[in-house]
Amino acid sequence: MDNIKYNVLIPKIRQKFILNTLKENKRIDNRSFYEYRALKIRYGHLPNADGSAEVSLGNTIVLAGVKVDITNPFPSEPDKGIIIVNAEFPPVASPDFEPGPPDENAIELARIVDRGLRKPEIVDLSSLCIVPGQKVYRIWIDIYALNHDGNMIDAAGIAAVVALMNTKYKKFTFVQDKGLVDTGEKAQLTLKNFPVYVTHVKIGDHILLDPVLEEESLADCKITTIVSEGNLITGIQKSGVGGISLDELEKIMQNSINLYQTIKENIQKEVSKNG
Amino acid sequence: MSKREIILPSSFLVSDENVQSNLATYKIGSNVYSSVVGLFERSEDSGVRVVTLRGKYYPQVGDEVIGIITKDSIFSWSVDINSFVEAILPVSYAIKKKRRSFSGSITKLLTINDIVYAQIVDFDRFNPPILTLRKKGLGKITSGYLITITPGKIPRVIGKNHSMIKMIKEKLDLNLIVGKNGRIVALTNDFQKIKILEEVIQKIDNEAHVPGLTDRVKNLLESKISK
Amino acid sequence: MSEYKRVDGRAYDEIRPVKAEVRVLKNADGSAIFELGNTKVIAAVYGPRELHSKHMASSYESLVRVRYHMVPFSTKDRKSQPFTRREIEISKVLKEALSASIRRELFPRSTIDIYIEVLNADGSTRVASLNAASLALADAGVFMYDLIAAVSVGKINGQLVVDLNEYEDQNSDSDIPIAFMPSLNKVVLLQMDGTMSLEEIRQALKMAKNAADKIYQVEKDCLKGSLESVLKVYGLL
Repeated sequence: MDNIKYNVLIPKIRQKFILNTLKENKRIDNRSFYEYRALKIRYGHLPNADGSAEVSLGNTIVLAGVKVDITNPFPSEPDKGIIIVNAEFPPVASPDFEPGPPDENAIELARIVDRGLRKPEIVDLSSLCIVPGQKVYRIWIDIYALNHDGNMIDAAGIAAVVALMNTKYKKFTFVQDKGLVDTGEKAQLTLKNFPVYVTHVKIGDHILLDPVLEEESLADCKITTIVSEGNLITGIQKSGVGGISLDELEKIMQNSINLYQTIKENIQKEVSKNG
Repeated sequence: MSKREIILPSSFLVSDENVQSNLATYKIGSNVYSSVVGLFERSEDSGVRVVTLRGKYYPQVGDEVIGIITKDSIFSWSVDINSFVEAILPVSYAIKKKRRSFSGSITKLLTINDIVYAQIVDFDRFNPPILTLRKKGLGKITSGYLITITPGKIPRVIGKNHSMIKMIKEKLDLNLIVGKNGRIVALTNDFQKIKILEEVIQKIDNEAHVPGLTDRVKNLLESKISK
Repeated sequence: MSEYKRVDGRAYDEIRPVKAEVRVLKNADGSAIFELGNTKVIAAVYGPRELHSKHMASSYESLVRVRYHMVPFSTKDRKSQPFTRREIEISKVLKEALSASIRRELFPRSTIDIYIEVLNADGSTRVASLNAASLALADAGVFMYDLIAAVSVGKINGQLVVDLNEYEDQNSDSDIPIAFMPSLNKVVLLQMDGTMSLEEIRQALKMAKNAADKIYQVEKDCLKGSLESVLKVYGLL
């Protein structure tokens, strides 16, 4: 139950400055309320990983690595592969992070990312089955924060999706009497969907997109909306202590849907730029 | 007579610019709402009053409380006062004024599980409640019987102009020390009297807000004592 | 809309029978049992009390710690893992929702510890937990802004339903646990899992609000009842 404090200390005069700036409809980094920070993506740069991506949103940097192995399926879904998302906030990413097993914040982030990949399935899990009831592929997605400057969820979401996009895994077949045999070929993971994680914070009466760490620390609460193909909402998470009205939620969800196409194209553009 | 009603967190009480919000109430604009499960008393003379029926003691400077020593350190003791923070009793506030200093182990003065009758002299959000024993009537309690009730009902144990407490003392012929933090020490070891006192205090705890309490307690006392 | 009929025969906007009781554990400063049909949850509040870990204490507000836990025999298959990632995440969002309802600034340097045990799980355990914990807080006399009323709403076979049971939880296309401070018109917990259009979410939230209002009423009656039993005897009420 013990947890590290993730909210940075902000001197009072700095708080005042930030709040006053918001009153004038401006943000400390000169962005408009519904503007994302610059997005940079590198991917496939870690050869030992089956898929990888490093995503920067302004100064926030998140790394995602994919490893594929073979395991027994869950008894409840004998003909489906498995996706597991893990996240860690290592001390490298912030003076406030401490070594140790993932805490509640990291676990929450992993589970939010996971939610966006599951319904609708981003990967056809049936295609990851080798022998029903016995052998299936298991996709491990490990998310590592490298630098925390707010809104790690959106960055982590992009990193997970892009890492999956460039995942190639060893193809195995089942041969009678021999068991699993490496075919020597590599299979490319194909994605059926394109979830985008859109995080807003509420600070007083203001709603801001893609908060930096200081904004996140001052926020009453944070709402992550996951939007997928067809303008469908495929996940929501409120985090943070403050309450929010239904009208404000409506505004945030509507804005997230409005932004979907632009964010998606922005990600695709970045991906096509940097191999 | 005043009107009483049961209130819950967020129950609307009154709309009044002049009413200050406090522990048991909070304000949005000029509307005052309850923040506890309790009784709301509206009377012409006393205005708005919220009686809390649950919860721990909330320390107030000036209150006399009955504390239990939980820890000793070099210069002070930690004292449980039935609240959300432990109080501190500094050594300098525990010794008589004449004695400028004290040398030797402080455990000679007070040790863990000792009971003190003390006054809160300081408390804010940065400092825990600070206790003193340097006042007439305060000090270590060395014998007696400890009874605990809901702190919000202590005023009823005392009664208007000490009427209730006076009556109990007289009828049972014993002395009582009453702490604002819901603790009462009966200065007696008479088993019979203690049992009657427990029943009386229980009755006050249960019926604290029912009119005519003093009379009912008197009847109870008289019927028990005559036996 | 399709022909989904609820397994337990309820109307789509009908919550299961609700039972609430406070003062159920003597040791705790406040406690409550909350039941939604076969979902049974018990919550205990200890505190506000001295926080012995000084580096975690704040001079401005009390710490709130929440542990949501399912007992091993609460589920169909025995739950063998001691503390799952799911439980850690739920503990976090419950903590945040409950914190929003507490006037924490009145209890500097202290902690309020809330322990929740799911005794029998039949869907909607996290919202039942929130209701139980909020009642336990009120029972403990903790100064708070409002009670929390929480409920789940979901979509199954294209049909929106409130208060999902285990079967509906397992078979739904999407579900939303949501919690309100009804008198203050604030949402303090919101999660969504699954797929929905914005219009469906709008309708779902409306259904959830109506159901939460009913739960809110049960909570208020429960707390009043806990006092009335004492006070009625003496002709006060």
